Amino acid sequence: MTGVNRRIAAVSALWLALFPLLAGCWDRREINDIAIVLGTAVDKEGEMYRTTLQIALPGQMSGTKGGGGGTTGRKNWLMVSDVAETPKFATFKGQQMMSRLVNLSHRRVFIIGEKVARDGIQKLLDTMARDPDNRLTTLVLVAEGRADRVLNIESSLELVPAEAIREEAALFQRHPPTLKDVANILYDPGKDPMLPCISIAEMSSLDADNTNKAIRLDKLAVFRDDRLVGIADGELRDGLLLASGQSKDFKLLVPAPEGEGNLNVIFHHYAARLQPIFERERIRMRIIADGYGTVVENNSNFFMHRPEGIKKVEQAVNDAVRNRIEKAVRWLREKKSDAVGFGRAIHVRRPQEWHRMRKNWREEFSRADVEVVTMLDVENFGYNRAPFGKREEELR
Amino acid sequence: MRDWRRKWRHRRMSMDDPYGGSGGGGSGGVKKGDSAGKNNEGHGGGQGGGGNGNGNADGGEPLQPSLAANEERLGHILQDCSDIAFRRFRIKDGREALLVYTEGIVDSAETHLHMLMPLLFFVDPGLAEKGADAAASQGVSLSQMRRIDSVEQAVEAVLSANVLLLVDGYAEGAAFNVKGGTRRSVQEPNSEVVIRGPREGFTENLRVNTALLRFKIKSPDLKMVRFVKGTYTRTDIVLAYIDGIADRKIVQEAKRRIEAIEINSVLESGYIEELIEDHPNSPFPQLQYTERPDTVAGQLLEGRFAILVDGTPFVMIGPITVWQLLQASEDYYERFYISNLIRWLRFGFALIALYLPALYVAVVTFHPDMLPTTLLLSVAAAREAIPFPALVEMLIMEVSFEALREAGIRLPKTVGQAVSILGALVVGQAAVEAGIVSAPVVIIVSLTGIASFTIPRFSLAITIRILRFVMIFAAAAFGLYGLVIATIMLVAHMCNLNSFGVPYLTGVAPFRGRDQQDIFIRTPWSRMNYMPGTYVQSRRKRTDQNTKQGVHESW
Repeated sequence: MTGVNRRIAAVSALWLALFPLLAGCWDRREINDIAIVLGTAVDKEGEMYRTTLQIALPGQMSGTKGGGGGTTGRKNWLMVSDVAETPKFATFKGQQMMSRLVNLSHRRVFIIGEKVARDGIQKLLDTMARDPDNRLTTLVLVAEGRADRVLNIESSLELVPAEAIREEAALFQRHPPTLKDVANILYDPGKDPMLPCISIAEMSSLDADNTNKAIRLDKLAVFRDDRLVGIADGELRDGLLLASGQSKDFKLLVPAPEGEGNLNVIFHHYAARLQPIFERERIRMRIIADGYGTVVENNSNFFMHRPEGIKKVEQAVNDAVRNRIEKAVRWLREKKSDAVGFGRAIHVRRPQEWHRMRKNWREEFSRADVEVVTMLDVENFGYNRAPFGKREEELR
Repeated sequence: MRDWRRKWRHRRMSMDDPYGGSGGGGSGGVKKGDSAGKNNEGHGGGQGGGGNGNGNADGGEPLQPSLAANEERLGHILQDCSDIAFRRFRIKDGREALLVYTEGIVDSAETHLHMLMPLLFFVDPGLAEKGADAAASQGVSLSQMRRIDSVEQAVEAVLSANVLLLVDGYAEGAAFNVKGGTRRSVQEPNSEVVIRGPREGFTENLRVNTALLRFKIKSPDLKMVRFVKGTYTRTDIVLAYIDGIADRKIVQEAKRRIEAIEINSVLESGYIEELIEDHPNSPFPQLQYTERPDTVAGQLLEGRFAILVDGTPFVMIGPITVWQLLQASEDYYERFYISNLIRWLRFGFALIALYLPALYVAVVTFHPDMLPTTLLLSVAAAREAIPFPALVEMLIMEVSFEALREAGIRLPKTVGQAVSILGALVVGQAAVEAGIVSAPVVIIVSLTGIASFTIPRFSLAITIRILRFVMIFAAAAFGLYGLVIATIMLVAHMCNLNSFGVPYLTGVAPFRGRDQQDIFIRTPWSRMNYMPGTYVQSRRKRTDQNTKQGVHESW
């Protein structure tokens, strides 16, 4: 009998012994007592930071009715904004206007206003590594103009703009940079950040009174160290995406090799490799672009379905890609920003050389030769030989 | 009468004491009863306990030579027992005789045809002069007969479906087993329904049950040792095992434990279970029970023993492991792909039944960061208007579900339907729409309910139901940390358990490679060549080789 009692005593003692281990674990908090932050926008007002939190209003979303915010009038989110000396402290000040505790663990996007980005983003990132509330998987983007404005644009397709931005980023490039990536890049002298850049756009102008605003993600913000030095658009952006291998289902519009009009090619498979080549005094960076694409549109009077026609198309495609990459690299050298990561490529391939040149890498980079090798194939031209609805004798 | 009872009880005490000087005698007596191979009620137990010899030797009151005296004595003991019939008659041209039997449990037609009629009309007139024994053995055409010397034996025989014959002038009687009366016939077991497999189930009748086993295992090695327990109920208990397969030590231990039982009534095998299990305070069942003869036969063939109790269709099996409780007999009848898939499904749902509500409470109150964002938003939307904390909400639903389930069992079938509709409507629909509980909780509770029904053994399902609440409280207090601690304690407890000396987690802890043929996967029968780990006696194979599939010509 005493044996049983001793056992009970031992078990209870074990239970009790577990309580001291609980220090700091006593954080029971019901789900209706937290404010779920889905996105943060940071802007600068004078010397002060304005932090804007986008907080989900689950009650408005009403889980049973399903996705698709619709135009019910009331928004699914709440923007809470305040100004303080540091971005984190602005968050604390924003907390004072809310009845629920700010919870950052579900933040999808962290949007940096253009002005802040030009002044340097390192100051924003410190709290991300220091405060365990933050998730390092949050996507980081730059907004053209003010970040809070962009974050407040309603997307009819998603419940909240933050989610829409995240999905757009996932469509825009292969690996949208997260906070963790940005931090790694900042530590590494061999690479500079290159963040997707969002702006406000008109979605349609059908209804003049009620123009539909939308968040457009079509630019790349290029940094030198932690400062924004340029926003790339158009062919420049294409070149950056192609050079860094970040392009996702890259769409290329090339003029038809003969005749008038354009061809539209999509690259579902594309990869870019950086290959540093060391010559006596100089370094040559070779960018090898590899992949194969599909012609999805032939808007010209060019007849592709001949062996020499196919060669011409491939030639045109390779030229276009090489041009874009060369243009982008020229621009980067001009900005002295190694956003593609040539330095990192050297570090990986030739660590000793890298340690020798990392000190003055920016100089080396601006002097380095760049060679672009494209090995792109066009594999699929579609089954209708001639452009649809055109007689063959009209073609060239 | 009171005096008689006291004596009776005293006698039983001495009989059942296995530690006393007569311990060896006890088991010897049992063996004797068994080897007689007959269904002679009370014989083995009655004689074995006191050592040896007959009832007279251990102080039983002897029968009188005078029939009138015996009739008066028996009439006194059995007074106010309106179901006992006394029939005075005269054996053809001879002495006075008396038949005593209990109406209803004796087959009267048989008694009349084979006992009363020959004795009254056909026997040799001189037979009665040769004594009761001779009259019985030569005048009665019934098979199961035994000699009765004492009043106690006589009473016991009468009460357990025997017809007692006493002849005037002799201090001895004869008892004939003429079991009759109506009992439920063999039916499909309700508690364990299978798609494929035998449809017969055990009944309340012990001898029908042993016969059902004998139908399946036609081997003299199938032993059925008989015990009688219960001062008042005198319930027959049979310990069945296969000699040569079952571990002798375990069988010996089972015998010892059953013999040590002292109880005044045994109405169901559950009485015995609680008295012989290793850890009565554990929530886990340490004996399996089943209504299916094929399950029992299968377990006997794997070296386990079975305990059959008269009056209940539930037969207990031991020693068991927890894995066994997660296996259904169908696992062995269906082809092995589907058996395995269903077995894994069962394992998965057993975990769901144990953990899902607790996990929900932990995640919602401590770790919302663990949910995918969109799921979190859905849960948050559902919980927006709920007035209770997640724990209270979960408890409300779980307790109402348990109540609903209990009500569903207790209520008559016609009303049961109404209750389930009401339950589904009120608890499910209305409560969610009124914003008392949230939809995710209803989903989780119903999923948990479904999950607990996938566990093939009800006894383990109950255990999991109990432990589910422990888990919920651990999660509500300490979150996932609490869940982990509770799980560690649970596993430690299970490692500590054993059933008749066999560790509860045998096969996994202690690990035994050969057992992997039938724990997480059920290998095809052609590969299932080893005895399970509960069989500790030797490492022998179940069979040299079951026929391999490859030996058949395919075309």
